[in-house]
Amino acid sequence: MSVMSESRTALPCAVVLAMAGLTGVAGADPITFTDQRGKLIELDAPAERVIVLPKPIPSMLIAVDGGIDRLIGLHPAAQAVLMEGLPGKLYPGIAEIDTSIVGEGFIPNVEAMLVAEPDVVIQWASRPEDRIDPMERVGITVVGFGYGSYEIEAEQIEIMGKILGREDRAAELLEWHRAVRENIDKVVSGIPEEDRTTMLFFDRFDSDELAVFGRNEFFFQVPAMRNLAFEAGLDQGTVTIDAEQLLKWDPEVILLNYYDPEADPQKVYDDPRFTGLQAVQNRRVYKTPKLDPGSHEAPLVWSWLATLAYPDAFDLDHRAEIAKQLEDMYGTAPDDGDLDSILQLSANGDSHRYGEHFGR
Amino acid sequence: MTRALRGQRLFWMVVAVVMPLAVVGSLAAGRYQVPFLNVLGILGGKMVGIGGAFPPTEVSVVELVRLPRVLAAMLAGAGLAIAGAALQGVFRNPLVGPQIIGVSSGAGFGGALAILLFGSAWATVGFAFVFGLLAILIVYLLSRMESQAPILLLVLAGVVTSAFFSALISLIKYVADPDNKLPAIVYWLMGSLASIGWVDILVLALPVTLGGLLIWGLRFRINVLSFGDEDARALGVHVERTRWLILVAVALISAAVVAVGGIIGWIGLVIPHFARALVGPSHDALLPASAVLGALYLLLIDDIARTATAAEIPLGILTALIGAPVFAFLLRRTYLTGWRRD
Repeated sequence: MSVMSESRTALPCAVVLAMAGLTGVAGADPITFTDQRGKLIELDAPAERVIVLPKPIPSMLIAVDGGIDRLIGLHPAAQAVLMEGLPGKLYPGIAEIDTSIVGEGFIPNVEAMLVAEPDVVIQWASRPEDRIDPMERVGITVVGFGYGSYEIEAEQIEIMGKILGREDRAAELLEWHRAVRENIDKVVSGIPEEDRTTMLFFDRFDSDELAVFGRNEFFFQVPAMRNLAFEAGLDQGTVTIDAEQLLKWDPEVILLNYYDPEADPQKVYDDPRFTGLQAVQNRRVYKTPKLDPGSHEAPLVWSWLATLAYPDAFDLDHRAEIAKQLEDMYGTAPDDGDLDSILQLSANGDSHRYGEHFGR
Repeated sequence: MTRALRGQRLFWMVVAVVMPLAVVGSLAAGRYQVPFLNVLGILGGKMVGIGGAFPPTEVSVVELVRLPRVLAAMLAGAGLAIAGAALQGVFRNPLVGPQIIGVSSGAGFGGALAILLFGSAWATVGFAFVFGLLAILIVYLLSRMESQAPILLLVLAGVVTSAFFSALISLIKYVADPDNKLPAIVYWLMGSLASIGWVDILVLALPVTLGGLLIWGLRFRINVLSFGDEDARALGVHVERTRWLILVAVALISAAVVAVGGIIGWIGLVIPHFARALVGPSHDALLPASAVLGALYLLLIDDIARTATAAEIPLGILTALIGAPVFAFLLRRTYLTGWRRD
């Protein structure tokens, strides 16, 4: 490209930018929306400096915005999780982002907040007297986020689009969610209740404790899996059970949460107490992929689960789809090594038909 | 035959009937349905050495899940109750238990620290032991005055030490990663035998047996000590030495229980009162009676913990919910009839 052509393109660009700036100043339309505690939020313009306190949300911001430039503060635990995963590899700058703005229990450090000068702080909507009020008292704009259902999570993507002025990208993500759901639904909706695959999702599975997800998470419902713990009447996030209860439920599939560093299907296969389980005999114990099932990445998890639950009914190219979507979200495509790690290939390699569906 | 002796004989006759029933009943109870006859068959087969033709899952439920758990509950219950009885005797105070003198908190802190730093079961056990003993050492140093330790000072030193380690436990909870380490620590501290395996039984059995035998060997000196230090000295008992031997034994037992099952409160406090009411205050009768009652009590509590709902109920919650009201009732009764007679 010649110097001449660069300056030729630069001029119209400058004009467009100036015009955009003018309309910004004229700012006829402030951004308004209702946050998830029911408060009407008004912004003069898309936020340029955003602090995100809820742990799963920073990666959503990155996915909607396509970068980390506007993320100026986050929870230290969220920073650690991002740095261990793909976003940290693509954006090493995440390590430099301010984490001094929040303490234990999501209590904001108001003085550090004032120093950081955010346009918007995203915070959990629960316990507002401790978590939100101190910030609002000093004039910081706070957007409250809830949790607990897919509708809430989907709306968060929409709100994030509004905060950042990226409603187009938010709509694109949600459309992708809808399409994936529809495709899975076409296959699984005809399966009668009693033929649906039963499973238990373990938050911890080690020598000290067995703890299962008691709630009927949305990401179990989309791939039509039956959470036996929920059917037995449990309704809390994680519930400790004893070995006998697991033997009694005897699920077809056992899932181990990747959040637990000790989780390993081989340990379940090797445990003499559990040799009689059908999930052990059929080798259907899997460690979940390093993807967030309750956020913008959820469709990747839905497809993963649907394939495990009904391995004959689905034949998707998971690796290509994950690579494409993560590239759209985080700017760079993961390589084969990244995909192996995301899909837990070393932990799940020996499990039923795993390599066939998820291997290279 | 004296009235006390008749009471003891009756007590042991009842225990001889109830104990085997409770054990077999516990082995037959659980969330996984194993027919009663199969439970007997599996156990019998194990003892006589004949491999019966039982479904393998039923065998592993009985042998690998229930049997270690039943044994652990009985060992822990017996150990804590003996420890409590011994403490109440040497301190001549009905309100003393392993928790009061700081061992439980010390061991609890050690275990929580190990979960935070290492996350291996062996580290948890080791740290619980070391810090349980350290707590006792601190109590000892705090309470020594002019080469002897007045009882009140000892109990206060225990309270102080206990509060100190409780604060350290809070600190650990505060810094622990809330997604991963914190739930593990909180769960462990509330007490549970849900994940007991045969290795845990070994960890529990050795110290509890050792501590229990030490206390049993000192039973007559505890009797003498319970008359008061002056009388004991006059009768030629090394008051200080005996007291510290008992404390070390108690530390051994409590640390082992905490290491394997977390903090299980109230047993060391409540059970000796029951036992005293049934067999009288003499420690040669009281110690074994406390042991079997403690074993039975924790066995029953643990049965509830594992069978009542699909979710495990932490033992610490159950022992306190049942123990506190019963203790309040006993306190009123024994105050009127027992300890005030001193």
